[in-house]
Amino acid sequence: MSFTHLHVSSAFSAHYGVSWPDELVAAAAGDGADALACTDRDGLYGTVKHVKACLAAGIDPIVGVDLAIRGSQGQSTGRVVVLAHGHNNGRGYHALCRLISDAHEGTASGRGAKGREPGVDIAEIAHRAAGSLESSDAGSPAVLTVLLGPYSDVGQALRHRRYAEARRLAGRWRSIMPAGSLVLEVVNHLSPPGENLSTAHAVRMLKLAADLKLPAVLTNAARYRQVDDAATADVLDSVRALTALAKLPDLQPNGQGWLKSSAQMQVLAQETAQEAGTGRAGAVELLAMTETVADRCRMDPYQDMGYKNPVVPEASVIGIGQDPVTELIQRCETGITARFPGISGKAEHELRDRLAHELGIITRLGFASYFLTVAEVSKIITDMGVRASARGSGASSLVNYLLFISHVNPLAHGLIFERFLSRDRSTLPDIDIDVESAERHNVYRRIFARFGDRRVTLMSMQNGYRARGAVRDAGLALGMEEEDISGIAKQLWRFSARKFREAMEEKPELRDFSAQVEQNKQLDLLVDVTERLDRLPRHISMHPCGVILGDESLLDRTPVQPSGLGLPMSQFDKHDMDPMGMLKLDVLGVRMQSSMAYAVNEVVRIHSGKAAVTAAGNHPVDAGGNGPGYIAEDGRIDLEAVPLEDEETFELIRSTHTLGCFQIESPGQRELVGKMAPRNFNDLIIDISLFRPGPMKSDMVRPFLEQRHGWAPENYPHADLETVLKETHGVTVFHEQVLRTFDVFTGCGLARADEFRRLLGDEAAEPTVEEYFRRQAMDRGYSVDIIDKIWNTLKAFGSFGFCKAHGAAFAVPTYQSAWLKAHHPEAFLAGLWEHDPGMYPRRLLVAEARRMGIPILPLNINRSADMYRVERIPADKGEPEKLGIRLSLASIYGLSAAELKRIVAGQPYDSLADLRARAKVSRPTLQRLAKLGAFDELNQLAGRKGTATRADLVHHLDKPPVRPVPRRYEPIDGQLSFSLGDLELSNLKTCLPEPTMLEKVRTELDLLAVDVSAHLMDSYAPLLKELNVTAAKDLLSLRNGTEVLVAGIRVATQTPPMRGGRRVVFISVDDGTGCVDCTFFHEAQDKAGPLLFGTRLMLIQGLTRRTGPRGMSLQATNAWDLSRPETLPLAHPAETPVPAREQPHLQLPDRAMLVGLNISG
Amino acid sequence: MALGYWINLGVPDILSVVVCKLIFESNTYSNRMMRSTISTGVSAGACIEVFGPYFQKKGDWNMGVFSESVEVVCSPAGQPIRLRWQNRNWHIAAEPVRWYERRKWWAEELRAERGRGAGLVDHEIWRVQARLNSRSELRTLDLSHQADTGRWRLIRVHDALQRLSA
Repeated sequence: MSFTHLHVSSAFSAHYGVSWPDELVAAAAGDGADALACTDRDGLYGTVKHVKACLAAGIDPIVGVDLAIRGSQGQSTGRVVVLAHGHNNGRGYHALCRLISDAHEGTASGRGAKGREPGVDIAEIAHRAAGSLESSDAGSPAVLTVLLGPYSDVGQALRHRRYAEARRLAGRWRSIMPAGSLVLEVVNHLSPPGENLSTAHAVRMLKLAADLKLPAVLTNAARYRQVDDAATADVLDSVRALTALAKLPDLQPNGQGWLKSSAQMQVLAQETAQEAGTGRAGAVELLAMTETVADRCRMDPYQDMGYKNPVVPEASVIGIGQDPVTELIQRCETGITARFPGISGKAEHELRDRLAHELGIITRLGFASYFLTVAEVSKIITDMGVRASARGSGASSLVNYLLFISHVNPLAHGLIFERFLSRDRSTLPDIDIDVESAERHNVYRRIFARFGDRRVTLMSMQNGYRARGAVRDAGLALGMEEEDISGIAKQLWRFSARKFREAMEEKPELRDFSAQVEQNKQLDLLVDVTERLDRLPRHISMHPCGVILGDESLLDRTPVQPSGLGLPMSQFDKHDMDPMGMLKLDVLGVRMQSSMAYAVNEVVRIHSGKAAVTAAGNHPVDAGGNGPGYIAEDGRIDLEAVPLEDEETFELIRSTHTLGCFQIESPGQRELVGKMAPRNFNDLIIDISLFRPGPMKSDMVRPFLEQRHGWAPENYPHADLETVLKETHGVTVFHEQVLRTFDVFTGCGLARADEFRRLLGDEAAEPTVEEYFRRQAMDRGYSVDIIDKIWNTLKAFGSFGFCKAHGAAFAVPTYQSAWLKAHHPEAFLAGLWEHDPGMYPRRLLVAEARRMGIPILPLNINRSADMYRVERIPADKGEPEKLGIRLSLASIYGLSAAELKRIVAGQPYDSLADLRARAKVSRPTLQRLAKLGAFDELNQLAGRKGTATRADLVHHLDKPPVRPVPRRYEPIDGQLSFSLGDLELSNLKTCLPEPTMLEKVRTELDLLAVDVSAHLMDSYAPLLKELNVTAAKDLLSLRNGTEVLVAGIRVATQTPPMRGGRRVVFISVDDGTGCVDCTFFHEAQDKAGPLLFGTRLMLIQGLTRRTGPRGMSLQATNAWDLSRPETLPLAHPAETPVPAREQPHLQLPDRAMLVGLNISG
Repeated sequence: MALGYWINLGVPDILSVVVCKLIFESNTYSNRMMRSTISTGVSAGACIEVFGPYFQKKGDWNMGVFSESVEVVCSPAGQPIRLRWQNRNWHIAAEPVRWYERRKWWAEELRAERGRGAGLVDHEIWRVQARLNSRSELRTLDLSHQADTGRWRLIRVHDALQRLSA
């Protein structure tokens, strides 16, 4: 007879369970069980994965939760397991979801947040267990079962032998809970006598059940799959309590809590019954009752949980008064007029054919409401004035284009609808919308307001242990010292915890650590414990983008808990959406969108109307002298209407000066763009699509470039594929091309082709695809050679290649950002500085402004705002009027938000006293402002001849402040002051010299994290000269293969996946004249050792490598730390002047924001 | 240690046993101490009668408790029925009790790698009552069973406690 485990916690019980749901299911099914429960702590975090695994293994899922119980004073009185009854049209499951949401109401939304722990009181459980109100007549059965086990109040009383109390408590439970819903849970972990979960403890529970005539079941309160995992459970307990194992008071009594086999459970039943005096019959009864309870809890995922049944909001809620399909058709018509005004003839035919095709599929699948819902959301966002644009395969759909959800014309770029949705896919498609990052929370709130809080929830995500966190927590559990752990965590954070030992052997930068481990025994244990924690869920948090939309029954199908935003968050994560039929929208905050919106606003603000904007941006003017249609009368640019063929934009892109542009600013991308030289929008799509692991790994890029530039003849595998592959010169790059290739050779239709594409790369399924392909192609008369060739391409493609729709969706903001940089660089850069999108630190973008000749206007107490602003610099001494960017006060280190607000509100100030009085800034703030030169202009205006220097002012402010004026002498509101100017400043004595440039830059780095007045590398000029370092801007004039030294601040480090599997590290350094991209292959990585990822100021030696007409990169051979001159390869070290005290080198302050250590790949 | 020596010379049975047991059991007692006591070759007193074998034979300090390897024969159901300890056969009389006791693996182990298996977090303890023959007294003994090697160790003898509680 098989045994059904009713109390099982999966790894998704954070810091409690150890094993993944599918592992548990596999173990149970392998043992011959035909059902398994998943009862995670406080929620259904692992439930959907459990159901999925059960269905795959052919066993019945049982669904439940392990909840804390609250007593009358709100204190915790133990934990119980609640199981949902099945096969009752979901009444059990709905009650379970609602109960869990009840438990989480008013709880803390994360560590450190206010609120109590999740829990319910007995009355609440009883209420939900009784079922929904409509059906609660006296005869209707309960829909939930509660297991009172060793952790419940009854169980704890029994542990301490307080029999009378146990009886009383159990009696109380029985009186409140509906009939037939209460069960006692016997657990025997064979702990030492007297401890929790000992045989004696189990026996007492069994006897109590008999006494009170309550049913008793046997479980093992399983937290892990196999006995080996018990140690991991110990560590998780330690981490949960934030206490070292040695000091933890309530460790599990032993390691017997694994998912024991039927045989083992039967033995336990025997032992327990034997001790209880009921012998064999008792054991049989216990096991039989376990199966009885299990039977009533077996779930039918489809009927009870709505498995795989997509649900969308009701039509009335979306704002439709008629049949959704009719509505959709009407809206598409409107869209045609808007997007394709005046279309006719062949083009119109194509358009309508495509539309009919798409609408046919949408209607057949019943997804019309889905599209209308998404359109509604899109409208909500644009009505708010926020930029929004769909990304991903949603761009393949003409319907999306017509509904203004996406902004890419799929017909113009050959995008295939089936890549997004086809009649064979019954799951809801995924539409992701990019919005301005700064407005994201507002967008959520508006969506909630619009749809009502019963139909919307946020989505959660599980954060798993990565190496760094795993090391820290493992160290905590072992009781190691904080500093030791920190040091180790810093070294190991780039690797997965599971692969530590491997990494230690391979990676050159871990050599030192490896040696340490050999010597220190505790470190060995630390590595072991860390590996155990790898990838286990660490905590649940709000998914940054996901929004779930449903109908009124949404909260019956998912439990919710508080998020950090004050809006409820579903306990399901993105992998659970599809199985549970939930409509998920990803609303992604993209900082580039915010930057572009900001830039457009700045353009409006700084220019007076359309004519001024047209002139400033060098936009085309028509015969009548009017500017283009995409600029409104007030000067607002409609970026979506900007034509996609602007030559200036493509020139900028080809120049590789694309720092700040979306997607194409990384060193690798700049190299590719330089080589590829995009000429039009389609080229841009191809460029973005090529720069992916797939094409890079499978050597698609090189032949593509060769053929594009005409260095190799275009080589079509077969004439029939010419139309398909023409745009990429015969190379297969896009998913869409794979689909078309399949269709051309087999006639299978695009829908099936997409399915085949998905199966490529799947070892099990690929042979069937191959067989079908060969057979069909043969039937069509293609030769074996050709078939072989084509199949090899498709096979090599595997999971590589890119969906062109994705590329197209990305290419839109890429183009728009480049367009803005080409035409309105000052506004664009101001937007970049303000919102800081992209991979580089702000200081590099400031350096970019310097490179472009845009004046960077220093901080000024009266002119600087709380944002970066474009400012007009009046014409002066032969220089025409220019636009510059004024630095923002918000970026000053240590300036509080309240102070900032006050300063800005009180501008302008005519004196320091004025500033002090009205803005009430603190003394440190005043000093910082002075150091940064915010008062320089004020100082000048105040002055007489020989004005005090900045240093004098700083010195003056250093002195203790004057006693504040007593209240009765303070000016009343509205009282004007004499305009005497700043008496304080005009009376300053001049004694100190103006700070040197070096000192100014150091202060700026310290307080703003940006070197404004000059580039930080300038201070190294003498040293670089000594070393004979080549400036970045001079590299282009060198011959290929020249050995040089370059130096600079590291601004990017990347380890993208490469062909051949060997790791290549790309490091870019900025030396003030430009960026140098250096490639470190294996030998160079070895030589650089720990410097590879650790240093900020680098000296790199290497060979130049031409990458295109405008591109030169460096193949590195060695690297040094520039901030440690003693290690540098100086020609005559003895003669090197020790840097004089007054001319030290500038160091970067120890703040991460300065250096872009974005490791990607 | 010196106390034990003194006690053995003249103090009555029970007390000396109890005191010896207390000293013996206390984990603050170091290895060297015990060995030097052994080497003094104390040969008189009730202490020896019970603990003599420990003093004379070389054993093991495990879990901070002195333990000794023994051979155990189990029934088909896995219950110990016979025990061979210091070349004498003991019969296990009443039903043995079994539990799993936790180990402080983080302090005692050098490694705790995945796949280590049973025996890391807890070990199996059997409490048996054994007698040499039908006339001799019942002794309560704690045995530890190592899952990976299948070996048995005697880790505790409970007589004194029994008599005390009687």
